[in-house]
Amino acid sequence: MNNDEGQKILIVEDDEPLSDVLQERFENEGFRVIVAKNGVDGLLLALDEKPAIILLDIVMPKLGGLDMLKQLREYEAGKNIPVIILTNLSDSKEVHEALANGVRDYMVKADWAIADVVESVRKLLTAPGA
Amino acid sequence: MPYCTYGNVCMKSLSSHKPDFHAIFDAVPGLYLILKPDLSILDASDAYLEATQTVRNNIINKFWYEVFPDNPSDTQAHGVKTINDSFHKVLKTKKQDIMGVVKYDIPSKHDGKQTYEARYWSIVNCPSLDADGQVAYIINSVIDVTEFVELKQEQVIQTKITEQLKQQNKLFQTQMQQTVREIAAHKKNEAELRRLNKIKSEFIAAVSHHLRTPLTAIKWSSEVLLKPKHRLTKSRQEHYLYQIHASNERMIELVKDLLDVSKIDFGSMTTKPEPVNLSSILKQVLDDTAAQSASKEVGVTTSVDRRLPPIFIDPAWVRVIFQNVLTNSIRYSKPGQQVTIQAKKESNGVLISISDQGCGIPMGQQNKIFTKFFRADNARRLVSDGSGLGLYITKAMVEQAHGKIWFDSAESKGSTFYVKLPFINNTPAEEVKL
Repeated sequence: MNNDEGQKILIVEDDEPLSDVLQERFENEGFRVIVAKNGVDGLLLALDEKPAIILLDIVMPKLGGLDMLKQLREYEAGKNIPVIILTNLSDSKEVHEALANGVRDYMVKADWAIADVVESVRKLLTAPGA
Repeated sequence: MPYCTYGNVCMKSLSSHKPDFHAIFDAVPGLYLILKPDLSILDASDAYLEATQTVRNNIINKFWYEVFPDNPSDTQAHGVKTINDSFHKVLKTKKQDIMGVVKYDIPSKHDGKQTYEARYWSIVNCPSLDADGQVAYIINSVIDVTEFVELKQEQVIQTKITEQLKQQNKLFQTQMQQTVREIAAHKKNEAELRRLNKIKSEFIAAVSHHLRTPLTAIKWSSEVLLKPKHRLTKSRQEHYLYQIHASNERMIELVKDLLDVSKIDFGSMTTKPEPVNLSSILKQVLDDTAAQSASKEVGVTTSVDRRLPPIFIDPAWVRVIFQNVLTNSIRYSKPGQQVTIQAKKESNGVLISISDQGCGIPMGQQNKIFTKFFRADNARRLVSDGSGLGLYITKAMVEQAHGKIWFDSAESKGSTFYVKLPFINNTPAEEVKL
């Protein structure tokens, strides 16, 4: 029995094959998954649904992940939601900007198995202060 | 009387006194040396003695060449021989011999040492004949032209120096110009290197991001498939296999586009232009895109001038140009919508237009549509995959072929892309009948 049973995760990812497989895996691991395909929808869902954690892509239409993150942090409801950046950008500029906005982890998609992503999410949710 | 024809006074004077010819001889300002036929010295005028720094008693009855030997330190000196030749000529011809300027250094004592002073002389040797018509004396008349010659030499040297300076200046200027050119070339190279380096960095960043996305899809889909504990249904297994296949296809397309882009950016795109029948290429492209338009239920109609002249262009490029624009039109249309292709001859080329009723390009993003990796927001919402490289490549190819590409578009209403390809490079004038 997992402690995170039924915990809500928001996946903000514009690439459908990726959001698709992430959704299936997290659902199979017992999470309740909600998906947004751009930053605008992601921000609205984050504020409405108050997920336990957000997996956030950076390069997306309408509103990119880093801009969404900045806006999210301006709302009381969004201030403390843990965020893991899950992107294929590996430039130090983006990493710095993400860390400056209080992300808990920065993962380059192609470097990790989904099992690792799930593991990171679990760790973060069970960590003291989570 | 051979001596004087100056009038009565003189005649009278001459008749009453025997003239002192020696005094007269010494008083003349010219430089004269009188030689006997054996070339020994009879006498010299005072002026001659002074000019040659000699003393009368020391030279009389001596052979002239003993008194005036060549300067032994001047290996080029040949005054003795030249003058001797002239004396012999006078003795033989009994006529005066006007010599040119001769360098003939004169001996002098300097601090008790025997030295020579460089001198130049203009020399005339005249015979003085006796009653039998034989040469009694040779009058050696000389003018010291050393100053004149040295002045001339100085002028020559000056001219030479001026000439050398001019040449050096010219050389210097040439070298300066060369250096300036080299610096300019160097700066240009540097700027070009910086530009290429920037392109390279942007390219690597973009490539890594764009290639990683389908790679991640392949990685994750296969990971899910390979773990038995996931207990996937058959349809989910098929779904992931399809994802792997589609992502792989996407990568192949992407790699092809990225290679084209790198060739464009580094200016190494090669082209093999030939007279191309646009209609037949268009037909091939329609065949290639038939499956796509059928599956999307988008109708494609064509209206092509029957007598379209050939265009001088790389056929592979025309294919890419048509394919990229047409594929976009079909991709961003909804089922039931129409795509219309027109090609007509114009005065200086062929105008192709491809119109659709699809999602169009938002006004605020129209200026970026030909930018590398750019995709309009509504296009991304509609179709998630796409490199954003197609129109960038298309534009580069059209422009390389001296053509133009532009569009009219309104969001939600559709777009019309125009491609104008000119007749160039002696496109055959005859028209091709379809």
